[in-house]
Amino acid sequence: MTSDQFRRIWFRFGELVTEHRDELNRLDAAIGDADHGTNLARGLAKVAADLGADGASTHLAGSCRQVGMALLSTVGGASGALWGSALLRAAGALPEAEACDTATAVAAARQVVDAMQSRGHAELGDKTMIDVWRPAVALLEASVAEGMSGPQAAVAVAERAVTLADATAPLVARRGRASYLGARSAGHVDPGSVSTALFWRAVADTVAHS
Amino acid sequence: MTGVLLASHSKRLADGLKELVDELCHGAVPVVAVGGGHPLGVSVEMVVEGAQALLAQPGVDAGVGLGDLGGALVALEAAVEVGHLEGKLLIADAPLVEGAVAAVMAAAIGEGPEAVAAAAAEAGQLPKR
Repeated sequence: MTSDQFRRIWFRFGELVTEHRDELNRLDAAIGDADHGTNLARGLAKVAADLGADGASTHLAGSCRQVGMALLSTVGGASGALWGSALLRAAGALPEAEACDTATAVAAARQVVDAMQSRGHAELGDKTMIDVWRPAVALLEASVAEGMSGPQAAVAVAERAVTLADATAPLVARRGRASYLGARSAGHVDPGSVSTALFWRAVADTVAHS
Repeated sequence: MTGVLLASHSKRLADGLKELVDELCHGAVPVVAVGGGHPLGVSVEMVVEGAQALLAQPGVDAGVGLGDLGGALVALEAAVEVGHLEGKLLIADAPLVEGAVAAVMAAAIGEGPEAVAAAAAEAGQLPKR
């Protein structure tokens, strides 16, 4: 992965979230406070501005840190804290260089999911974005271990992520605002899982076409 | 002395609670309120700034943070890591109103951050009537 690809993943993620903003807000209205799309779109606009600014870092670790800080400062609530601190953690796994090998990029993705879990205390099946993040990263690791190229693996993960997000619908929320609804949260797809699937689509769109 | 940081999705809610606990402890315990407005929500940045303001007050050597909903707790805990506040800001798993009252009462009698956080957490177990 090059630092140019890394930045373009975030530009693409911002585009996708903006396109799906109303849908994400609608999903969040059912089991949360109806602002997930707006909140994330605002944060990703700041991310794009920071990554594109004069004097912005050109190496992977620095760009990843910029993303984390931008999300922490602009996305309120749990999403901002979870995404932001996860990206700051991932920055520690990336080199201060313009490019890294696939194994390093996969290790950074592992840092993201581990940081999100330790910060948010969510387990698999709690109806949170961990329900997409954890199996997605596991599939990424397995695919690369089996000899798939990074771009091929990213496409496979992006496809699986959509299925995983849809599979949150029957779950009863045990973490996050939706948990106050108890059994009434079943029947609604988790908005954080849908935006996580959009992130993986952004990764696939970017690395498969460059 | 231990100070108290109140974090709410609504700054007005945090400010109102600060007004209440300031009155209860006659202003003896430094309390800082942070929260959202437009938009509502607790950001890591506002927690870090609030904690720094609390720790900068004379005589305050540590703080205990309380949040209203789960998202506020996530932001509080992330702020400890990002703001390098380990050992300086302890996060209490406590109900916001009762926990804040218990926290300032414990802080007012000179308890350290661990005891203040424990008092706040125990407040969740007390029956209201």
